[in-house]
Amino acid sequence: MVSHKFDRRTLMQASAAGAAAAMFAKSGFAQDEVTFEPYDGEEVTISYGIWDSAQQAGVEEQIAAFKAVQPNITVEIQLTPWSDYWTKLQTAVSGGEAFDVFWLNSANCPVYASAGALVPLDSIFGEGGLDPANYPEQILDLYSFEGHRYGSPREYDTIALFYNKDIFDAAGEAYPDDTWDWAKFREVAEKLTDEANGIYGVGLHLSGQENYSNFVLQNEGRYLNDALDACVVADEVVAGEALQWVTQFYLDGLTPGPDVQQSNPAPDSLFPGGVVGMLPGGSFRAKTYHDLIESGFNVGVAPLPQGKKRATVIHGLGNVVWSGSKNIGAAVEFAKFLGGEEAERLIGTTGIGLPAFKGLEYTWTDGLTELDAQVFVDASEYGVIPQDPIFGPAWQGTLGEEVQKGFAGETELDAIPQTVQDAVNATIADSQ
Amino acid sequence: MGTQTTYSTGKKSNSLSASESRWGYGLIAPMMIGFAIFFLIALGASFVLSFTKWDLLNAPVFNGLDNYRKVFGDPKFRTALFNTFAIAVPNVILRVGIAMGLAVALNSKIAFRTFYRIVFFLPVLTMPVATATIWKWVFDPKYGPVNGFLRQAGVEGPSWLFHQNTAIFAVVVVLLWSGVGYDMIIFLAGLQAIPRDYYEASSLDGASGWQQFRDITVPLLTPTTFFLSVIAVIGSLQVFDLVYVMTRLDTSNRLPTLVYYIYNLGFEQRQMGYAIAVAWVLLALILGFTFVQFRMQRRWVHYQ
Repeated sequence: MVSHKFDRRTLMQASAAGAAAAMFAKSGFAQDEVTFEPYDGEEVTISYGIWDSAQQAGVEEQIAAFKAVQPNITVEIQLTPWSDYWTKLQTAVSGGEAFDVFWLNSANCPVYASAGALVPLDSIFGEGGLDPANYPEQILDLYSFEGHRYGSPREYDTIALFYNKDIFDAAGEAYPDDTWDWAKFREVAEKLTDEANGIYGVGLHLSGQENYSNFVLQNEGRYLNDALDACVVADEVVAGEALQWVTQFYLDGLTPGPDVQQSNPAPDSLFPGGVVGMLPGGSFRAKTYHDLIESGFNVGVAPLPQGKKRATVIHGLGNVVWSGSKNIGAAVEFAKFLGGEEAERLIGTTGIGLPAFKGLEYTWTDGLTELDAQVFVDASEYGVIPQDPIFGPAWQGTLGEEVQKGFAGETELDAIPQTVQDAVNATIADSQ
Repeated sequence: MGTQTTYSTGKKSNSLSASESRWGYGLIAPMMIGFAIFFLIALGASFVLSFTKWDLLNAPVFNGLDNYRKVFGDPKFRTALFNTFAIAVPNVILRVGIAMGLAVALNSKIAFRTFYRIVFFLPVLTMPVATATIWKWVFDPKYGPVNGFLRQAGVEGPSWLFHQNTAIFAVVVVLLWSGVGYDMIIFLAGLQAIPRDYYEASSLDGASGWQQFRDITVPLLTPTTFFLSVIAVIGSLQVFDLVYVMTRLDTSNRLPTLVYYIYNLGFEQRQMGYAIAVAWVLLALILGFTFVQFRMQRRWVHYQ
């Protein structure tokens, strides 16, 4: 009976070897060519991965509309909060259990496309499908990789300047308009700032999208080189200059610093809380602010001030199809429907955001009667999409962290461009 | 149950019949299968993967000892290691010390004793993320009550969770607040196991309260103290959720600890192979400390 004893070492070796074999043989990994049967009308259920519970009701309306067209395809929403979404998606894809159709942001498109995890959706465009001419070119570019389209267009967002009318009135300043440039923006920020009463002239959020990335673009700068494999923030000067210009707002106390925004992000609490005069913010915030007008929040919106040129970050989610899906045909049908006019109209009417389908923007702006939401639509004309390298978005995290050290005064103003560039390049080296 | 089996000798297996041992294996099988699938296999796989470069989406590629070599030259690893110890050392010492003090105080016959016990134990039942969210607000530099009090006293308080030193302080305070209650309960159980006679006898000999505490309570509590220190060291080295929530800033963290760094590498930077290697280094550290603690217990732990 003693002979039944397990040899611990053998057990360890066996489990390690078994696990390694399972790991490398896993079918979830890269496939070079994705071929699939078109949907043949059979009864199937597919999953749809999303991360925003606030949009769930609107998405359900889209699914109901799809059901009317394809009664045999049942779509189940799988909601995973943003904080867990990417972790779950990565492990689900490598474990062979991902969503059939899911939301993707552009930063992750090259990563998943190059790993063979996405079905090329070129077939949904063209005759009998979606007409590329119906969408802004940038939105199509967001989900294009190596000559293929991977995303069915959904909605888009741009950045504009929200402002608190009460704070402007109290200071006797005229509201922002489309004539504003950087100098005017800075001047008014100084005038509105009232330290004694805890009023900040401007609330510059810590993230690039609603802050410095726009100013870098307006200064004709960029973060990465053409090959998207090196940071050029210091080498090309203009991007570094823009970062320093933004940093000066923090150093001069015109905007809440990163320490204050650590628990009170300007867009979420300080601006609606009435202690911030102006806020560069995304169109995705418009509905929240608009709905606060009823309870006395006196908010307006104007185009972003311009630098050397007009520019704003433009981004939008794409609906993509997982290459490991057992029902690719049905999944592709659903993705195609989501980019079509009927589903796009629901994006606007349910208040989710600006439909990517040209001419339907009014369905969203009409719901925001008290705000000049048209500025977000106009901004798409000069919207620039982010640079999204194949090795993924880790470099953006480093960029943000380093830029924020500058905001906190931990990096000398003069040293910011070089420090940022070196740190980002180190992350790029690690990511490749 | 009426069989000849003896439970007290060291040679049990010899006296178990074959059917009995089959029963035994059968009964532990559900547990052992779960253990094998979710622990042993995962452990084995992670060991193998620690020698690879793996981005989670493409197949892992072996890179020998590269990951382990990299750990020791990695400044971010060193920062995380420093932060972890800077939190762990005061946390372990203060936590055990305060808990023992509370237990002794709440073991004596004072009014509202049960009420106090409950109050000190309540934070243990609170979810760490909820705890961290509330305390993050408490320590807010501009609008939080801590700096509010300081301002009334004429002092402008620091940005607690933003700077390394003050963040370590704040985190330790919250860790103590949320952990001391658990240790207190264990100490109370330990105190109640000390026979009354010892105190009565020493009183007759004229020992003071302090002498009783020093010469009876503390020595006889050492097994409990030892157990709690081991648990506290392991827990402190693995500190994550509370620090993560409290010191998060946009997409980075102002007070990265080792487990945060593992999470950051694996899931945010998608360097899973390297992340796993760091996890194994952490495991080695924990094993090392626990081993040392077990070796040292001979010198100071008294079993009755």
